[in-house]
Amino acid sequence: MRVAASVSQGRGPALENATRVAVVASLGATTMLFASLVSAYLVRRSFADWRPSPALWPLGLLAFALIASGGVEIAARDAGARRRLGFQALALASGLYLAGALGVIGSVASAEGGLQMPFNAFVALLLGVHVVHAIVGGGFAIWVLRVEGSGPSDHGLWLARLVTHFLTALLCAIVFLLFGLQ
Amino acid sequence: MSGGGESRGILSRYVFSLDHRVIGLQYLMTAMGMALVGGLLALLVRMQIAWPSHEFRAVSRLLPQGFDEGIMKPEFYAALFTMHGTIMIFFVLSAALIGGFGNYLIPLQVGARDMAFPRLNALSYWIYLVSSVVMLASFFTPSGPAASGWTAYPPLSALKGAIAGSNLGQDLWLVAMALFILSFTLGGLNFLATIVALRRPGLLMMDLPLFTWAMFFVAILGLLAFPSLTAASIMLLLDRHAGTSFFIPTGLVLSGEAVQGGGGSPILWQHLFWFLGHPEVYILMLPSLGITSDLFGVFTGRRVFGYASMVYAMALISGMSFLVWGHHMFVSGMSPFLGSAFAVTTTLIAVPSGVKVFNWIASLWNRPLRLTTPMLWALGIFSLFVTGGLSGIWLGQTQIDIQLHDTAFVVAHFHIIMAGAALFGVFAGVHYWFPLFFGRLMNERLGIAHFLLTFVFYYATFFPMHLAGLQGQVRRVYDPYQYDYLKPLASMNAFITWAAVALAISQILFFVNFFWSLKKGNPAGPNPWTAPTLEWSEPAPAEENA
Repeated sequence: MRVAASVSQGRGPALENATRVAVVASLGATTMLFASLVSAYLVRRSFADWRPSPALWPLGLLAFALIASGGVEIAARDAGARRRLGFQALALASGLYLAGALGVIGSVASAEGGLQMPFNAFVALLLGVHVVHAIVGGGFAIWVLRVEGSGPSDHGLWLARLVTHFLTALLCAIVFLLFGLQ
Repeated sequence: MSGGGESRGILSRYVFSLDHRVIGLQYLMTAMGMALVGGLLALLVRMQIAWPSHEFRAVSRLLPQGFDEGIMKPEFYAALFTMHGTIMIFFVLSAALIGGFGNYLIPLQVGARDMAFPRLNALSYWIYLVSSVVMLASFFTPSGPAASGWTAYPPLSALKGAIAGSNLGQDLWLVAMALFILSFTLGGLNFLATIVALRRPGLLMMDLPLFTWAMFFVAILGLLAFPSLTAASIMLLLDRHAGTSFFIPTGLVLSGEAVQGGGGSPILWQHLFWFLGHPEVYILMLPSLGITSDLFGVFTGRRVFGYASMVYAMALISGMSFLVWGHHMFVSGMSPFLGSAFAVTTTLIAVPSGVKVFNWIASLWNRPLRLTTPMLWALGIFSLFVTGGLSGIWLGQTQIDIQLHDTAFVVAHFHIIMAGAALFGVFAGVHYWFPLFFGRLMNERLGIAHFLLTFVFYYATFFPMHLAGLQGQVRRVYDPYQYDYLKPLASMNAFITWAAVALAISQILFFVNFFWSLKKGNPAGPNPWTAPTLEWSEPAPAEENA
C-alpha cells in the first residue's frame, strides 16, 4: 500500500501531510456526527417523559478504553518485548471494551421498556456508533503501527495517538453525558 | 483481441482504474445515466400536476404498477417526486459536479500526479455506483420506492406501512443515502488532502483556480454537514426496525391501531436534516460558481475581478450555510425570536453572494467577450443565480415564508438557484473541459442551440411557478384542482408542463453533440481556449498515470 509504506517508513513528506489532513478531517466529520447525536439526546432529555437509569458499569468501559489508549503508547515506543506487550494489552483491552459495550447495549435492549425507553435507546445509539468508530479507528491505529524492524515513524505514532486518544475522549464525553448529567 | 490478458488490461484501465481521470469520467457517465431517470420522473410529476384526472393509457402500459386504469395512483405520484428530488440532488448534480469534475480536475489544477489516495478514490466511486443501484432497485420492490419526499420527514418515513413506499422502499432509500454519504466522505477527504498537501511546489492557495477553491469548500461542507444526515438516518432506521421512538410522536393511529411507543419528535428530524440540507445547496452551487468565475476569466482575457474577495465570499457563504437551516422550518412552530435570528443569518448570506455578483459584473464590464458555448452557459448561471437569489431573499423572511411555505414558489426558487445553476454548471464544465477529457471540441452550433433552447425553456418551466405559488398552489398535491381556488391555474400548469417537455426534448441535442463529438469532433489541440490554468498544460487527452 502506497500510503501505508509512506506513513510507516517516513517517506514522502507530501503524502504524510496528506494523510494528516485526511485523518484530522475525518475526526472532524466524526465530531460532527457525535455532535448531531448528542444534540438530539440533549433535546430529547428535556421532554417531560424522560426517565434516566442510574448505572455504574460505564465506568468499566472507560477504564478499558483508557488501557487501550495507553497500550498504543507502549506498543509504539520501541521494538522488542515491550512493544509486543503493548500490542497484547491493546488487543485485550479493545476486546474487553467491545464485549463490554455490546453487553451494555444488549442489557438496555432487554431491560424493562427496552429500546422504547428513550434513555435506553440513546445509550444503545451512542455506544453503538462509538463501537463502530472504535473498530475502524483501532484498525487504523494498528495498521500504522504495524511495521517491520525498528518501530513506527514519528508520523505513524502521531496518527495512532491522535485517533486513539480522540476516541477515548469521545467515550469519556458520551459516558459523562449519559450518566454524569442525570 | 488476443485473449484474457488484454481484456484484463482494458478492465483495469477503464473500469477498475485508480486513475483520477478515469474515475472522474466514471462519475460523470453514471450521473448522466441517473439524470435520464431523474428527468423522466420529473416529466411524470408534471404530467400529473397538469392533467390529474386524465387517462394515460400508453404510459400506464409501460408502468402498470403506478397506474390504475390509466390514472396515476396517489402513492406512485408521491414516489415520483420523492425519487426525482433524491436522484437529481445527490446522484446527478452532486455526483457530476463534485465526483466528475472534482476528481478529474483537482490533481491537474494543483499540479499533482493523482489524488492523495487513489484506492480510496476508486472505492468512493464504486460505493457511489452501488448506492445508485440500491436507490434504483427500490423501484422494483413489491411496494415501490420511498414516497415521503426527498426530505424523508417522519412519521411518514418512520412507520412501516404508513403508505406503500414506507416499506422496503424507504429502507433502501436510507441504505442508499448512507452509502452515498460514505462515498462523499471518502471523496471529500481525498479532495482536502490533495488540495492542501499535494500542490506543486511554489503554487500557493491564492494561485488556485476558483473551481478548485470551490471544491475545497465543498469538501469541508460535505465532511461537516453530511454527518448530521448520517445521525438522523441511523436513528430513523432504528425507529423502523429496533423499536426506538426518536422521531415517532405519541398518539399516532395507523390503520385504526395505535402506534406503539411514541414520545419522539418529528421536528428533531427536520433540524438534523436541514443542518445538512442547506449546506447541500451550496455543495451543489459552489462548483458552478467557481466554474463561472474561471470561465469569465478565460473568455474575457483577464483574471476574474476581485479574485481574493471571491475566495473570501465562498468561505463566508460556506461558513454561514451552517447558520441558516432554520429558515426551512419557519412553520414548524419555532420561537419567533429564533425565527428572526434565522431570518437575519439568511439575509446576511446575500452579502457574500452580492460580492460575487458585483465581481462578475466588473469582470464583464467593458471587456471583449468570447461568446463560446461554455461562456454562454456561464452567463446562464449568472442569470439564474441572480433570479433565484432574489426570490431567496423573500423566502428568508419569516413573514413572507409562512405564506409561501410548501408552495410552487419554493419549487421555482430552488429549481432556479440550486438545480438550474448546478445543471448549467454541468453543461458549462462538459463543454469547456471536453477537449481535455477526449481531445476533441464539441460542436459549437449544436452547443449554442442547446444552450438557447435550454435557457428559454428552463425559465418558461420554472418562472411561472412563482406566480402559481403566489396564488397559493401547494406543492406535492396529487390533484391541485380538488381545491376550487386552484382551478384557474390549470392552463398555467399545462403551459409549465409543455415547457418542461420542450426542455426535456432540448436535451437530446446535448446527448447527440456529446456522442457525435467523441468520434467526429474537431481535434482540440493542447489549449483550445487559451486558458491560463494548469490542467491545460497536460497533453490532450491526458495519458493515464498508472
